Amino acid sequence: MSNKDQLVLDALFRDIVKFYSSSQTSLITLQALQTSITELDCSTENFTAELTTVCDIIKNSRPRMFPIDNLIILLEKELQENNYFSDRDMDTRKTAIKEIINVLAERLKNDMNELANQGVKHIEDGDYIILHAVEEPVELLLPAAQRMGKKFEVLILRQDLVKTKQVITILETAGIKYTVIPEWDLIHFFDKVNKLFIGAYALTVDGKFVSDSGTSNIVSECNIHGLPIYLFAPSLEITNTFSRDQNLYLKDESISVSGSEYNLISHSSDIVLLDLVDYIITEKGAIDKSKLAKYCTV
Amino acid sequence: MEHAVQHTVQHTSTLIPIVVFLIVYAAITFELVNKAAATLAGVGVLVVLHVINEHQAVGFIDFETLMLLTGMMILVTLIKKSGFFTIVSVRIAEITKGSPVKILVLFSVVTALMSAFLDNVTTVLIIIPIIIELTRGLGLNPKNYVLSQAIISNIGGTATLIGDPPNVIIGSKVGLSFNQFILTLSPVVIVVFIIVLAYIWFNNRVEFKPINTSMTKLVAVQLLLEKIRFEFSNITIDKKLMIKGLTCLTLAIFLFITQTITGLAPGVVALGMAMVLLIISKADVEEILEEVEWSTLLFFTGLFILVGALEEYGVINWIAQNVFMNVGDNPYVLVLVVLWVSGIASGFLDNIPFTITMIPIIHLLLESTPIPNNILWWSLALGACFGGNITMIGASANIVSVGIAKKYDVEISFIDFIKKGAIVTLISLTVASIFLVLYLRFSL
Repeated sequence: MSNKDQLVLDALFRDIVKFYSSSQTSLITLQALQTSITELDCSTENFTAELTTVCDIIKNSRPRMFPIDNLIILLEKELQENNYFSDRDMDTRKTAIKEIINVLAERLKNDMNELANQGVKHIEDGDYIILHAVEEPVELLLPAAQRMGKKFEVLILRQDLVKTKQVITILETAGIKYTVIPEWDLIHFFDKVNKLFIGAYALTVDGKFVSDSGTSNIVSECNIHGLPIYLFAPSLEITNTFSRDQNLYLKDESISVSGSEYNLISHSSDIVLLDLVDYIITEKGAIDKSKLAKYCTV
Repeated sequence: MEHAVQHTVQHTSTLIPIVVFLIVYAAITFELVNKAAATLAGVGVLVVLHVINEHQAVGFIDFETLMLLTGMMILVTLIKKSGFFTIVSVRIAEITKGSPVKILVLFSVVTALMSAFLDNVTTVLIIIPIIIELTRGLGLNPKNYVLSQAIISNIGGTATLIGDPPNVIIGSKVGLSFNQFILTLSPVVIVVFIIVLAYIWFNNRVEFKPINTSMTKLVAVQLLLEKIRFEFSNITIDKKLMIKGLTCLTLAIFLFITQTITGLAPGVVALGMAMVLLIISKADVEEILEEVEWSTLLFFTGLFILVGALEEYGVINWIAQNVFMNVGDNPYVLVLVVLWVSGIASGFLDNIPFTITMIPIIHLLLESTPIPNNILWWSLALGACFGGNITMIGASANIVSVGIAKKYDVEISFIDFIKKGAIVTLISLTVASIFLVLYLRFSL
């Protein structure tokens, strides 16, 4: 595996997850995998190595990204169990693998739709919900609730400009009423808001979840003020791995402002205690956070 | 005694516009002050010292050139505002599917075409950011792609009357039509384009290996295209404005082509269509006019006056007599001298003031040695436009390309540019020499 290829794909994942949820990013990756299989021009002998390399790169991304990580594991399992690589010509292999990827993509889409159905049950008329990043609640739940005619408002906490702009675009397209405030201004809104909705990149078996940068601050502040915190994630985001194995990316950049220079260090994502979250909602409904491993499908 | 005093006064008066012109030229070349400020300050000095008066100054301005540039700037601003160029760029990125050779070829074709019908700076402003995103996202080095697009924009711009400022100036000051430019220069530009593209590919052939043998690279391309689609398509698309803008641009080009039938000068057409578009689009005129490069227009204005003063005092005549006419009256030698001197000078000096200075010189050369079919003018146009590729400061598009690249953390040094640009210019001027010699051979 080329280190350069790993770095290129890592950077792309980090960029794409700024404007799509991790579920949507996973769907896009599956489609990219299908297209690449169609366009790949290599010998039958090299095909297995090519597929293995790309699967390894996706599973080792910085940060690790679920559900795609689990979906790749499912793909590899399927290929091994059914011996897809033996005695088959290239076209048959390609068609078969694309078919498996198709099934996995359909499964993820169904889970996302079902997550939206489960999620809207937690939105009531008069709700004033806090959001801060492009996660599953923004892409799936709120537009679905709006279509159902529920009357609610959203308070967007501005952090990353790209993410905030995308949240606004999605809410405007869905016709949802919103207000934008800087994250540090939340303290002045606790008498108005009544829920915090968040998403995640991964839910780990050691009782933590990996999420967009800035989530930890908001969750902690809402927890202190006793605000109900809802985490929405398809069960494919639950992993048997630990939070320390999530390959967080540490960015060290040189910043120059008005003649003075300094190094700015930032992590790609936050690791937050699941204990701070009140409800975990998956496509199967609310789940018990103490029995997380039970819900891991991989 | 009286005669001697009069001679001294006249000699001093001639010296002032020369000194002012040289100081302004140095200030422009070394970017000591803003170009427009430098030329207008020079004009101010000439007027204050009574070298020329304000009425003479206004008389030296070529309003035809200014109208053409202003009109095209307004048309391009409105079409850009409609989102058309973004759609085109994203679509090309999709068609390339991340193939390095396709990125080079397709973007170069688009850059050349856009530069031929729009201004080069607008072209690179649109193309460079997306090509950097595309190549960097694929783990390629964007430097070669940025350099190639800057170079290609100067080559493409050479093909038409409206493609590059030297052509705009030559066209309006000499009275050459849009059709004369495109019919004469586009064949040589196409040949140069193909050879230069082949050179760029050959010189960096390791970087242009196909990617469809690597599944990882193919996945990266798909993800990258998704990112580009999001980033570049996330702008407002105004379909009505796009249709109106493209219709006006097409109509303007049609009127350029039919100039000999309609008798409408390109400046009148460009400014006329720009006004029509401003009215029918109901655009915010103040906002659109803010986008017009007023400093460039003022720079042109100042230069016309400075060169007019040199002409008035016989300096241009002196240069023509003592520099160019010294090479003899062999038309082949004259054509090649004008081409190569223009080419080399435009690489190190701004090609706009150089062209404005050369126009009266060429007029004088043609008076003593008539050369048919405007071949000496084509020599100047090809030299001034192709020569802009030698160095980073040779053309506005180069400076802008390097500036955008820097914003994206792609460092291109003066040496980086000259290494590629000088060879490309050598190729371009050699092809142009062959073309001009053959053209002259069949014209005499």
